[in-house]
Amino acid sequence: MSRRLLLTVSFLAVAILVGSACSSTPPSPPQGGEGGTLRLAYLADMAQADPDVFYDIEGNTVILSVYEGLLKYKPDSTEFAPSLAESWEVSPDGLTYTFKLRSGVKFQDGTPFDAQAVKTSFQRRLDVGAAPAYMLQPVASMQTPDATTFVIRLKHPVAPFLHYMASSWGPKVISPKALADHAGKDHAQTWLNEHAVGTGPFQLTTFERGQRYELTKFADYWGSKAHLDKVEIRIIPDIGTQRLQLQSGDLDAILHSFPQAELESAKSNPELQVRDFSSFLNNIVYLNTNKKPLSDPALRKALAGAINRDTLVTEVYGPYAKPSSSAYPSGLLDPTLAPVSYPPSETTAPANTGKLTFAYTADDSGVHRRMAELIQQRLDAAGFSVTINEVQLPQVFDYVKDLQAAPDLVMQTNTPDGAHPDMWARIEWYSTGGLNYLGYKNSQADKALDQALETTDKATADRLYGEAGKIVAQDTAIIFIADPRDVMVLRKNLTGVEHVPNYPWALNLAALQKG
Amino acid sequence: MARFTLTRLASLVGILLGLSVIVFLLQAVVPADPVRAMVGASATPQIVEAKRHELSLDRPLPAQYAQFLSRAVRGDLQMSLHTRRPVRTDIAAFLPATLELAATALAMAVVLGGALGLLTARGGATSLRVGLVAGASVPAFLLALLLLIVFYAQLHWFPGSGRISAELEAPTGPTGLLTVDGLLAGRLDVVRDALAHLALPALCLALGPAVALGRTLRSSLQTVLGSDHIRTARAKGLTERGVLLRHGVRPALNAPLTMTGLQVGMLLAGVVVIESIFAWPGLGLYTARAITSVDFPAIVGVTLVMGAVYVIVNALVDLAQVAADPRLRAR
Amino acid sequence: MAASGPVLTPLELTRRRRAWAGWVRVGRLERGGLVVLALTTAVALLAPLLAPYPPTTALPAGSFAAPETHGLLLGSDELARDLFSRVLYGIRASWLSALVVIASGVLIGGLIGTVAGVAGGWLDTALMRFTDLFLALPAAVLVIAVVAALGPSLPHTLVAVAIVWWPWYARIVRGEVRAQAVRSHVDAARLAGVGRTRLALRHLLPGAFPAVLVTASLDVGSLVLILAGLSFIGLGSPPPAPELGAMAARGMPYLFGHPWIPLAPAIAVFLLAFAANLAGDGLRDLLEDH
Repeated sequence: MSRRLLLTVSFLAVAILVGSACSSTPPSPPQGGEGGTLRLAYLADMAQADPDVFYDIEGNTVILSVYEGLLKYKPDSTEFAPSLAESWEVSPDGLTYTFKLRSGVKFQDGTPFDAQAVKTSFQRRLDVGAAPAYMLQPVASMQTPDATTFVIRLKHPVAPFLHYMASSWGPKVISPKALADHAGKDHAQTWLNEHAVGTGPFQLTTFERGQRYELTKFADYWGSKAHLDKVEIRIIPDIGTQRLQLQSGDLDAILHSFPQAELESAKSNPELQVRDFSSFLNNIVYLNTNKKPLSDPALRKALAGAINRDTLVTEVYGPYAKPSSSAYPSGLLDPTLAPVSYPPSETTAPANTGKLTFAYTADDSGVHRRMAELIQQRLDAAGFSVTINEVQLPQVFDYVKDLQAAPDLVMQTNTPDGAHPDMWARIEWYSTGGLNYLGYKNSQADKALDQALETTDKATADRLYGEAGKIVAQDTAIIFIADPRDVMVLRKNLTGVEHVPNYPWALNLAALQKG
Repeated sequence: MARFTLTRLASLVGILLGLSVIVFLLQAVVPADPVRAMVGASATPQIVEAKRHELSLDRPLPAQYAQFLSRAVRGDLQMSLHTRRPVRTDIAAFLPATLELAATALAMAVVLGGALGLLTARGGATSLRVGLVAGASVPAFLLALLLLIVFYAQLHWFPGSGRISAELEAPTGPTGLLTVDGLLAGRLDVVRDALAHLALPALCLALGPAVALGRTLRSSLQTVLGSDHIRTARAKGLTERGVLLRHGVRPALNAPLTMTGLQVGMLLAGVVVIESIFAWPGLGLYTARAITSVDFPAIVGVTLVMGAVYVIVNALVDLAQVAADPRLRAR
Repeated sequence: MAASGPVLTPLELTRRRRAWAGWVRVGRLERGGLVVLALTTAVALLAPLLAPYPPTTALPAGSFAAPETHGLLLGSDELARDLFSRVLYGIRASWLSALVVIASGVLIGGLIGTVAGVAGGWLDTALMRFTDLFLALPAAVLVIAVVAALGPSLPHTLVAVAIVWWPWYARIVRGEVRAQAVRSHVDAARLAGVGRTRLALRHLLPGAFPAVLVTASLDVGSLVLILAGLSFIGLGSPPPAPELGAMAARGMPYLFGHPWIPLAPAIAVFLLAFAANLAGDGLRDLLEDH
């Protein structure tokens, strides 16, 4: 083949490719704020769209747009707002919850909504028995005296029960017809993995696993209809690629994990807006109290002081996080009830401390990595010797099986399922708490929490939660590092931006407007 | 021919067994609790144990392996922990995208490597060689990002991610390869769009193999060009180009063909990073997610499939070698 | 060859002339590559002396210092460490690691290949099947398996990569050994009663040497990239060790605001691989007799 021929062929190939690339038509712009398609991206596939199984954070936007629960939170608040329940009453003994349901609501498949539908969905959550089922475990019985009244009786008082109802992972009402039609052998789990029929302002019209999801406006929604016509969510695993697309106008928003150190340059981009909201995210470091050398409380305190926590938080998060002032994420409980502080101290580690292992899971914004390395740098300067190890979440869950082999320090960023202190303390430092990764045990803290759960008087309960928090703080079993804000980078033309602190990484898509 | 197929099948089975053993051993060595991650932080111990039992994760590892084998021979690769679908279904869904990407990259590598080998066999074409070698020397993640920055963000010549533009509503069957399905359905717009999406990721994957191929071909050609029957051809009065093309290439194909087969392995490995950066919905992406979820059924499934592809490709390469060089048939 | 002493036979003269002609034939680019590699080896060995600061110390200049401020050539990274010093140490780690892996691959592969080639028969077949098994395994899985078993650290990763690397050399050496074995001078030696081991060491291996050297030199470039890729996904020395791949990976979130942080190590990898590739080509031109 002659060189000339080779060149000609290559030139033709490139021309074809370029020609094909340039021939795609851009989508039509929205008119006057109404309509249009919002383009979002997820870093990973949602895995399940089934609200009784889903327990991740990314994916909240889909679940909250398609399904509704009895209650929800008001924007920027922890106050309840009516959703499918117009009003509710709690009996003085805290055992009976009566919900007055909305009438005239239809599911996205046309089925009418009523109390029986609520009961069917709630029962299904218990039958499926997956991650969020714990919220309904205390239920003794559910009654439907009429089509718009739903009554729950609990086995014992549960202080956060209404927060369970409002949580983004709280029980949602699924169309009973869909549940019946696709029941199969697993309560319709296979079908609901990739389909959805709820009462929310959007319908899930496409679920292409690994590629994209599409939400379409539900024209018969009972509340204020969505402004957008469609929402397209693409799976783009690399945050750098997402960023390029946001800058090029192919994406409208990055709702989480924007590289922390680049937020300043995003701010100076005239086409973008950086918005930050309060959240219940909490960056913490667990200490292994079951193993030498950190089984020594004095050493734990010294280590906490050596980190110089406050400057650490400013350096890594900039203005987008506050050093934690309480054992509870800010807004969950009065900070004076369980205060924490770690004044910097010029400690040096005692001579024979030995090596410390520090495990953490990576996040795409680069925060965890940088934080872990900074902590290592500072601890090494104080005479400790720290090895850091990046691991995956299932590995972190395994540590509790062999605490002697587990790392000495574990860093995580967690968030409570709802805006109630019990939903934080119980999973974090209750002796059998699911996120109590390093098996911290303190029977006094457990007792305080057990008492608080069944106390109906809020002030008393709060004091008890405060006590539990104080115990953990004094023991330095957990170092509470920061309360980060929920940071999102949106294109300038997006308005109607509404955020709920307890719905992390999500915006109210029905309120959003483009253009 | 029959003997060839039988020995290859035997080696395929052997290799797949070896791979599965290695991945299972890995499971023993990487302590992880995917069940806890699945059932959530507030699940009761009963639910945790029930799930563990359902997934057979409460049995000792050899028993788990035996169960895996007995299901695998029936084509059942168990359920993925993170998608909760059969691994077989997941792989069937994600494999075509990777095959299309790998095949395009291989074709590019053959064309570029072939051109490189042919043009540099007698010296010359230095700029092409330097360009390709430079491209092959850039770390993959950086090359991918640079290509995206230049050709997508700055020049807008190519799309930023994915396989196809959503508005086109591309056909979803029968092969799952968008270029082929588009052709079969007579949708040239789909074919063009799919090619545009393929261009950058395939190029990233192709550069390394192209350079390796080009080198091997060049070396091979130079050996052949110095041999006796070439001298005869020259003596017959053919031009250098004619000598090269008519008598030089065919016997020189042996080593490059082997190299092509081996490079498929490199391609399949490179796919994990490239698919992540270009949001290509293929097995690489699936694997990356399986690793972060420590989803062993999925990891085993993908390893077996990739291993099988690799062995099959190399078997085809051996066949092609025999076809190209009759001297090998005598064995 | 009985010649010893200063007088050169006509054959040797031709050889030497050919060698010089070969060196001249090696293009300028390739020679440049070799020079860069020589420099790299010097840098790798002398990094502790050349680096202005220790690679893991936080400097008073603070994080994200711009290049050429505070006396830092490339500025500081996200943990206030001197980027230039880290790149120098990173080059040291990458280069020496690549050489170690190649050397062990050549030794192990060479040993197995020689035994297979000399022994022939069932031993040859068995060894070659064993080699094929390793060639067929997806390298990535194997490396991850070994590192997971042993824990992430540089020596563990090198062991894992070496395990995957030797089969190539086994095949080459076996092929060369068998080709050499049918050459006339070896035949003569065997007929004269020279023992197998001596035969292998003095007649077969030297003949295999050029092919091995060519492959090894071409491999160095790929190896640098592969090691960088592995440390990119976290299989290498754990932080804060300066390793080029890990530095580039951990620097990615800063790519747009502070590009030098991921680009400096990535460019270092590129230059190393590029120079190794060109030099490898040059060596191949030099050593292969056409």
